[in-house]
Amino acid sequence: MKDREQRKDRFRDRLSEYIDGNLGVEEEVLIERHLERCEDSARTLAELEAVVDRAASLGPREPAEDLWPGIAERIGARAAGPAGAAPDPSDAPTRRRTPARGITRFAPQLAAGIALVWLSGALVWTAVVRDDAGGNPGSAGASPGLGAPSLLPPAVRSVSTLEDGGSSAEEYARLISELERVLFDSERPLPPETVARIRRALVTIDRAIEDARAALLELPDDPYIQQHMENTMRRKSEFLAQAVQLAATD
Amino acid sequence: MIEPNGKSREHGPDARAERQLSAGVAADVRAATFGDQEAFERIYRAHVSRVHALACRMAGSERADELTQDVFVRAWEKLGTFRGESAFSSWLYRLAVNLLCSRLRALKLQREREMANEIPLAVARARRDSIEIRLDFEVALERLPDGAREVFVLHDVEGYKHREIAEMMEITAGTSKSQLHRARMILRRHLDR
Repeated sequence: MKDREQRKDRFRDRLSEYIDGNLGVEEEVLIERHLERCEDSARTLAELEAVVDRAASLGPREPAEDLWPGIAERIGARAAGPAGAAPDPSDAPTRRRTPARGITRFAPQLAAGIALVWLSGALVWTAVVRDDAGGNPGSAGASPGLGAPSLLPPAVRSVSTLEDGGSSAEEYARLISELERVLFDSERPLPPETVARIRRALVTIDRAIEDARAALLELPDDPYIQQHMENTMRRKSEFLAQAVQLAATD
Repeated sequence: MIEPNGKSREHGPDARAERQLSAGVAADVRAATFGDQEAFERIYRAHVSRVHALACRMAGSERADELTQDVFVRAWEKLGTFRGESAFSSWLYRLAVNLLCSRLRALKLQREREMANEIPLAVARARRDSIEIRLDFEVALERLPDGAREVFVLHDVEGYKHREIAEMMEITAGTSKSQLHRARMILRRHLDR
């Protein structure tokens, strides 16, 4: 009985390939013999064929609203027109487009990553500042601005000059590297527990950067992912800059 | 003319419509290539329903509008790479499929949907015997597990071969075949809906 069921399953698993004509003659003959004897398998075959027919009959689906205005708006930003002006793929416009409205609906993980980075950065930063201020909550909000700007490392001042979308991931990477050097290789090191907290916060931010980097490998031209990458790196540089300021004013 | 769905494009209403469109489309493609947005709008209107259907079935209705727009923006950017070696519609749908596969892969939506969708469909299947839930075939299709859904759409709706699907989805042809069978086995329960 069990053998019979297993045999039936084995044949049933090949029915799609049988329908598509992907089997050799011998296998086809075997399946046809089985179908003559097995009512269940014959019924399954008929159902699968009906699914294939139904799929082939599925028609186009108009969107509920006209999508053209959104497309026109996005391609309208490209004043020079499409790449076709010179029909060479390498001539395709490389200008970055504005991220599509509502694209966050399409990227919940990235959106969640942004939120997580913000949240973890803010929470850890508050904890770091409170601890280093001797548990005085009143000093937490004021501490990042305590240092005299002219005395801060140039990398910190650079962060304040960066604007949303105005700097590339490469610029942020250079800045982050400089800030990490200042922060962790300083002659006046932060307390170990503060460094540990900062590093823990950076794990979350770094994970978000790694996710964005992996996504960029798949879609290097996707402006949304590019912007997400830059935003995440900006968060990291801002966080590090605040930490450097704290170290400078400690 | 062989469309991605190679089984029926030579004859029938699709083929006739395509032939009627082709002359106009060729002129529009040429004009759009040189920056004519009105020509590109005509291209959009001629193809949007099929691209939108593909996006709905591959990625779900809730994301279809956004993805359809992305496809046409990408097409605008890449028009210069269309050399007329295949039908424009084939080029456009291939571009759409590639973009959809990349997006789903890059943003790791497949895993998320698999977890979210396996359960509702399984529940629907289990309850069907007792309370006869009416689940539209298209809805059932959208709720297929990731992987199975995409292969089914590409093979049975769009007419791509397993080796083409394997290439686009970065899977093996064997996986494509098994996912197709899995999808069909699930969908046969929703046939008469």
